[in-house]
Amino acid sequence: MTTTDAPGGAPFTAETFQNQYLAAGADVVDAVVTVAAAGDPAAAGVATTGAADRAEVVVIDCSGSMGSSRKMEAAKDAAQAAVDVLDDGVSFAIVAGDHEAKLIWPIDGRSFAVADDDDRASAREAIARLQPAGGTAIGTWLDLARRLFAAVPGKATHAILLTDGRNEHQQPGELAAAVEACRGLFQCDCRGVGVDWEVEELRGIATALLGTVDIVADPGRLAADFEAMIASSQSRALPHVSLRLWSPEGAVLDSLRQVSPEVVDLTATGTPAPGVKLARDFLLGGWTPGESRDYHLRITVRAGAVGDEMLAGRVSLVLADGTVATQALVKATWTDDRELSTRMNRQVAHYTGQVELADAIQAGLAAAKAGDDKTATVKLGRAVQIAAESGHDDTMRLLKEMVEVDDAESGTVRLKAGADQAAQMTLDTRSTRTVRLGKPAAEQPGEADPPEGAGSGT
Amino acid sequence: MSPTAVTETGTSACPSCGEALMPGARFCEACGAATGAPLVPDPEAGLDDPTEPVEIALASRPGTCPRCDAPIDADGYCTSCGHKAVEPVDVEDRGSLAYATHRGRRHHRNEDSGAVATTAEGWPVLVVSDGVSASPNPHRASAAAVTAAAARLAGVPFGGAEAVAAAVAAAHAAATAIPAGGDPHWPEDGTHPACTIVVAVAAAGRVVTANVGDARGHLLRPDAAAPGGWSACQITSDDSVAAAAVAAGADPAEALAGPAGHAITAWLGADAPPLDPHVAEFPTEPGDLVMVDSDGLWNYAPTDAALGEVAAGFLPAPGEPVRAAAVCERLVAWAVEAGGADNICVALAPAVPGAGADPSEREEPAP
Repeated sequence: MTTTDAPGGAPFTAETFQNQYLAAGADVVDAVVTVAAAGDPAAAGVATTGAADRAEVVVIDCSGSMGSSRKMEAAKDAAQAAVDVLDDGVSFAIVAGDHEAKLIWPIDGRSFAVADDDDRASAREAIARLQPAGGTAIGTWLDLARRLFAAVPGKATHAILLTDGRNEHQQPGELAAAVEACRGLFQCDCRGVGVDWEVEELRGIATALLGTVDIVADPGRLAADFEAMIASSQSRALPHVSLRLWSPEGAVLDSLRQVSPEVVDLTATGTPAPGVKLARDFLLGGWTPGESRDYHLRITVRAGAVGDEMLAGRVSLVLADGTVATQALVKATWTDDRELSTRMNRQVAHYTGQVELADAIQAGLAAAKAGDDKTATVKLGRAVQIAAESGHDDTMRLLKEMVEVDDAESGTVRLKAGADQAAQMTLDTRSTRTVRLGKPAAEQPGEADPPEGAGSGT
Repeated sequence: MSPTAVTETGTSACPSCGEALMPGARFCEACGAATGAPLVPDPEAGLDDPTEPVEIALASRPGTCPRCDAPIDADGYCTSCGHKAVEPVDVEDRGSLAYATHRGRRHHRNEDSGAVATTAEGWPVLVVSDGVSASPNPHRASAAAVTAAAARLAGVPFGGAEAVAAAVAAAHAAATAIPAGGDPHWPEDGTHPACTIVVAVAAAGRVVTANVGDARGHLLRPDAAAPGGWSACQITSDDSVAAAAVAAGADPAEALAGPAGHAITAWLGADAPPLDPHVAEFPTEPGDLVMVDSDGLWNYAPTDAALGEVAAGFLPAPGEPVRAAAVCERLVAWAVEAGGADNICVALAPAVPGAGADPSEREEPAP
């Protein structure tokens, strides 16, 4: 592992956890790479994003269904709360969405207003005038946000998207095309209010646009959530970070997933790294100083001979200006010592379990929805088992809303009759959140000394 | 971090295709044929910055991958196929005394081990052990042997010939205790872990050695008459078929080249013949250096004259401070470059002036 030298330390550090030993003929290399951003990036000599470098778009669903259950009022409160916490100098715009998208602030022909007391007050008034009417065409909302952001190239871009329903007034392909067009241009946190929206639909948007997805079942909680999203966005001082993965000629990337704080499959999102052979770049979005994320990668390489050592992957972090900030090496060493090759790295095992947990929850809920109680019981039982093993208390709590747990260790559960719809959607939405592995003293990074340690000293 | 440079000795055109050659090239850039240029250490090479570790490029040409010819990255891996192409020499640097070791190019693991220590008097203790590849767990046997031998001599007043013999006995016991099972490279067939050993203590005015097998002790001495200003002298006797043949009157080069030339006739371990180490003592002069080394080194310089010339390439002018770690590292690197057919381990320390010598004349190597 190496890092760039900077007076205040490196802007990022990366560490590999793996068992680099493979049996003869084995060709699959697994590793977890933990990436951490420096607590003080300025000290590390990195340009950080200030208020003047940011652009925020808040997209509010104004379809007719928002008129029920006080959702429109809550959405207005939330949008106003978001505007209130914008730092002075941030460029911002408010979009109202139904079967089409309308820019409701600014309304003077500019793409963005710049936050100050006057503009915030005017924006609040514009938001207060919103009326629920019309349908839901989320793709058009994203299209407008994309066009707005295109007018401020170089800024750190972030959107909040709130909906209470499905993308009913567009073909699924239209939404998918709109999402693809936005990829890499801005990050988007998605929120579903009520229980009439589609978890998979919003998760697809949030994943593609490097944002979070969550359910706000109780409209009264929207305002606090919006404030938190804006605060989180404004804390991301390191914009447009990419993960670069080099792997050798002939290697195939089976999967690259963010696995902490939540599961995000990045595998298909890579693009060829400019000017670097055999490397692909994966957008990670903005980073908050001090935050750390874990990535699990699985690469199939051309198997070497026993005794060979290969670099199976080189993970680097690339900053907005193209600087390579750190790198971690993923290695493969072929051995016929079974004691070495059969060891499973604890981090890899843990996150393999966390990904399975998310998959089991989603499969279990889908089966329950389809009336296949048998599959639902098996899948949710497995989820309970993994949640118990890994100490994932939050997910366990949500699972217990769905099932009666007879024995968590064996995953023996019974489906609860008439489980609450909101609870089901909450479990689905949050199924991708993971816990980190507790670190006992025995935990070793992957670069364990080879057993043939030459030259024993005294 | 350049590989040890070598100088060429007159080759200027490829013997295969006639293409002009880079100075010192051992392989033709055009057709890849071996040029036959011998490896002779460049006295200027590699010593400009002794703090810089030597990295051995396991490559036909420096900086390119031996498998696919693509460039090698800063971490020593091929930028195309990813295979490790550069492997550093392991060095134990204890200031005036040190050892260095490397797997070489052919063996998949390093079965040589080294150790350095000092007696209560501060006299250097050097130990090298070569695990026998035709035995199970040889790397563990050699590691246990050097650890046990050095531990016997470290920190206690030196007991002369008896002490080095006792150190070898301790090494034998340690090697004997290594289990035969669990080595994936050797089926359980009744053979036991085995290794050779050489122990040398640079006592005041003399070096005392004990050895079993074919790891050697050498004395390096400033010698104005020698080509590089240093001469080498083997101060141990091999337990080998070749040594027996030489003792019977055979030519040394022919004896080593013979079919069983490298077969050893004594070793350490559970199925070794009765332990009977060669114990010897040799007078030293201030400025001498004591070296112990495995056959991975001396195979490429089997005579005193050849080894003296090679060592001189990595030693400063007599009287200049000697950095033991840098010399060991470069000797090992040289042996890898020369072919690296076996594991290599080299340990080095300055001789200690005798009671009659003026302490101020003692070589004081740089820390």
